Amino acid sequence: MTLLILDLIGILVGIIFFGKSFGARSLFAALSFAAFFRLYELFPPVMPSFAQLPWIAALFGGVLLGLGEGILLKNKIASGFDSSIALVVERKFRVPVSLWYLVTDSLVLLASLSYLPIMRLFYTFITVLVSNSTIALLGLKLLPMRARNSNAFVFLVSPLQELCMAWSQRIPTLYWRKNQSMESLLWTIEPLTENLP
Amino acid sequence: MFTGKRSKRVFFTLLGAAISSFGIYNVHAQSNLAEGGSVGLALLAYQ
Repeated sequence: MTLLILDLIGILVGIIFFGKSFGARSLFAALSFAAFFRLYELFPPVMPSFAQLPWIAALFGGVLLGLGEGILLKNKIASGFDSSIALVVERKFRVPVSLWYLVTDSLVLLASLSYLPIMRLFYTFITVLVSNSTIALLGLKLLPMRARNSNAFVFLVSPLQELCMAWSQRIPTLYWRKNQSMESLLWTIEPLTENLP
Repeated sequence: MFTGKRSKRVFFTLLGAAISSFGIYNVHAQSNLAEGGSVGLALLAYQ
């Protein structure tokens, strides 16, 4: 009930800044969130309990929350009090939503310290970090990093290749032969023994 | 009624709500993790 009142306040603030259509969208989102929650509550939990492995729960939950919230925020829909305020702050003060989330979530967790043990809050803080970085990732436009002959994939993979080669007794070397152009300057991997006189 | 941009938005709203409430109910609540944001604030007021 408190959540409903908070959400309504948030959505009202959002309507002031973004107009009625934002209000309709967010109300729909808040209601569908509550409906899905009720739906899940009807059934026993599908996932095994990670109570013994709070690290996994924190990481997995963080990715799920970040994904869900990120999809909503990317479409400029708020599902509750916090996201509505975060969107308003982003519009007014140009603060990224994920950064604002980090601040508000930390404040809420600090306040929750009054009734919860500190270790539970520590794992929740990890969730907050993970979910906010997921939101930030979704907010980015993931353009491929196009250098001349390479892309982001090569940048990600080449250190792995190096490791594999070092593992199999090969040593990666950076070659630049005189007749080679700058564009074909690449990490060339050759066995060390072939270069020995 | 549900065509183009609007239906896309409805779809994404439902998807986002489904994923995040799944996370809260099936992962967080089962593992006794606390919540941040407005859910955490509501829990704080409830205590």
